[in-house]
Amino acid sequence: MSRNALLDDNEEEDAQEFSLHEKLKRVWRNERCAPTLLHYEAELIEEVQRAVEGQEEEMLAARQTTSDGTRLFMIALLELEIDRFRFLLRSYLRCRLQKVQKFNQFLLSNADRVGLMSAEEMKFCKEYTDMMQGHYNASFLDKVPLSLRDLGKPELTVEPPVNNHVFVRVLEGVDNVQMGDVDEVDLKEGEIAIVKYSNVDEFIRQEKLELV
Amino acid sequence: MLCDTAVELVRELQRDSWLPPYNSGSVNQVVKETLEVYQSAAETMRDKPNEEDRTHWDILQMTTQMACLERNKRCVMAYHKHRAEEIMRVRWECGTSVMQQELQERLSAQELQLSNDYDRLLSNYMINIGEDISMDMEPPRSTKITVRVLKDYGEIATMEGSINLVRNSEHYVRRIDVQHLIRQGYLEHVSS
Repeated sequence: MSRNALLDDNEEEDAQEFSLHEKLKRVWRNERCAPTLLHYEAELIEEVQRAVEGQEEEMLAARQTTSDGTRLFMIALLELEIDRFRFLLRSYLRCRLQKVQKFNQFLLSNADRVGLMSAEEMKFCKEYTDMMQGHYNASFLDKVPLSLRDLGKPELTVEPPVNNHVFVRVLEGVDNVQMGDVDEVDLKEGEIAIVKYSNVDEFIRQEKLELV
Repeated sequence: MLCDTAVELVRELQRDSWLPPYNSGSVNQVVKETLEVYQSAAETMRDKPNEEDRTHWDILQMTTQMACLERNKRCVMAYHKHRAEEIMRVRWECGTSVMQQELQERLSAQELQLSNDYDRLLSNYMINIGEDISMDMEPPRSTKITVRVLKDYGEIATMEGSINLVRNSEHYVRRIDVQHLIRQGYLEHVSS
C-alpha cells in the first residue's frame, strides 16, 4: 500500500487508506466502550500492522532521498498519521489485554468465551490465571485447610457488567429492540440511543449499531 | 471478635497513597484464626456425626463458623488481589520492569516474585504479537516535541543522530524516541 499516495495524488489508494483508518477507529471505539471483551478482529489488525510497517519503510526511504521543503513537510504529516494508526492499534490491544486480565476466569470458563480472544491473548490469560493462583497459594492459601482453597466459586469470579447501559449510534435500522422490561423500539439509521448492552450486543456484532 | 483482624487488614489498604508495607503479621493471624475455627467446626462434625444429635446451639455455632471462614478468606483474598493489581498498574505506568526501591520495600517476597512474573508474562505477550503496547499511551498530537532534561542520562540514538541528554538542556526530538524517558522521569515534556 503506497503512501506516496498523498504526494503522487492516487485517489483510489487514498480511499482504501481512509476506510482502513475508519474501520480501525470503529473497532477501537467499540472495544473501549463495551463492558465486556469483544471478538478479536484478527484480519483487520493484521492488515493495519502490514500497512503501518509498509508506510514506515517508505517514510524512512523518502526522508533519505528528499530535501525539498514542501515534501519534507508532507512526510512529517504522514509520519503523524502513522503515529495515530499506531496509537489506535496499541490502545485497542491494551484495552483488550486489560479486560482479559480483569475477566480472566470468566473468559476461560467456556469455549465460546475463549473464542473471543486471539491465540496470544488466550495464552496470556491462562498463564496470568496460573500466576495469580500461584501467588495466592504461596501467600496464604497453602496454609489454610484444603476445603477452603477452592477459588472457582461463582462469587469469586469477576463477570463483565453486560447489563450496563451504553450509547449506541444506528448504522442500519433495526426493529424490535428491547428497552426496559416490556417496551420494544424500532431504531432508525442515524439515531443515537441509550440501551442495555446485553439487549444490543448481537446488533453490534452484526455492525448494525456502533458504540459511542 | 471473629474476623476483626481480616476486616482491619482490608481497611489498612485505604490509609496509604499507594500500598502500605505488607502486613504478614495480620495475614498470619487471620490464617491462625481460620485454622482454629475450622478445627472447632470439624470437631463438632466428628463428635456428632448424625444431624439429629446436634443441638440448635451446635447448628448456630457451625453456621457462624462457616460464615467466619468465608469472610476471612474473602478479606485476605481481597487484600492480596488489590495489592497485586496495584503492582501491575505500576508496571504499566512506569513502562519499565524495574520498580523504585522505596516501592519494592513495601512488598512481600511473594509480591516481588509476582512483579517479576508479570513483567515476564507481559514481555512475552508483546514479543508474540510484535507490538510494544506499553508505548503510545496517549494520542499523539505531533510527531516531534520539546523536552527538558531533568536528570543526566547520557547519549541516546535517534533517527537524526545521537543526542547528549544533560540536565537542564532542551531538545526538539521525535516523540517515539523519548517517550519512555519521559515516563521514567528523566525528561519533561515542555508544552509550547
